[in-house]
Amino acid sequence: MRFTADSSAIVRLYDPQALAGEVEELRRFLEEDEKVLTLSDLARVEVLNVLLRRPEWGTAMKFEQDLAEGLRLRVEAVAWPMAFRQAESLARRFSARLRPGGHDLVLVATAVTMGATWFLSFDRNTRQRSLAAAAGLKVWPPLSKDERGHARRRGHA
Amino acid sequence: MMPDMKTVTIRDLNRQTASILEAVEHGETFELRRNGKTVGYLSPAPPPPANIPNWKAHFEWLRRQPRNRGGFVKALDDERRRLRAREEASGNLR
Repeated sequence: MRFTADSSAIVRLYDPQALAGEVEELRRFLEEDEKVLTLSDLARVEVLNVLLRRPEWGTAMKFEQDLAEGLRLRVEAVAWPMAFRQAESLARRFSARLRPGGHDLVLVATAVTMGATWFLSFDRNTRQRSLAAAAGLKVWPPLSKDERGHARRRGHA
Repeated sequence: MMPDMKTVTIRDLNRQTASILEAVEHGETFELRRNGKTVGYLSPAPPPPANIPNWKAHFEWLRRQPRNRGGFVKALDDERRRLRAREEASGNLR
C-alpha cells in the first residue's frame, strides 16, 4: 500500500501554526503502522519553496534532512512523460464536469503514475481531492459529503 | 549466510554454551542454525536500530518549535489561491 502526499499534507508536518486538530489527525494516521510517505519532486519543490521563505528558522533544512534520511518521507522518481499523459487522460475524463485546475491535474496524475493507493491532501479549496477519488485513489482525510458527491456524480459520468 | 561467519547448531549451543558465549564475549558472531536453516545470530553488538519511520520523534520536534516560526500552511494556501486566480482569469476554470 503506497501513501502519496500532496504538499498540503507535507507542509503541515513542518508548521507549528498548522491547525492543532489537523496535525493531531495526521499524527494518529501516520503513527498507526508507522507509514512512509512518498512524494514527487513537484511536491518537494513546492514545499521547499514555502519553507525557504524563512531559511533562518532551519525548517527547510529539517525537511531536507528528513528527505535525505528517507525513513518517513521518500521522494520517488516519476516518469514525467507518463504523468503528463495521465494528466491529459484525467482532463479528457473529468475536466468538463469537475473543472480541476491544471496544477491539480498534474498533482493527481503524478500520484497515479507513482502507483499511489492513498492520496493525502488537505487542499479543500480546489477539486483536487474529488479528482483524486474520481481517478481511483483513496483520499485521506476522508472526503466530505460534498466532495464525495462531486467524485461520484461527476467522476463516473 | 555471511562469508567468514561461524555457524552453530542448537545442539552445539546446548553442549558448548560456555565456550560459545565466551567467544561472543570476545567479539565473535555466530549464525545460529536449526535443521539446516538460520534462526538467528549470537553477537556481542546490539542489533542496528530498526529502519522504521518513527513519526513520534517527528511530532515531538514539531511540538518543540516556537509558534511564531510557522505560517507555511498559509503561504502554500496563498500560493495555490494565486495560481487558481490566474487560471480563472484565463478562463480555464469557468
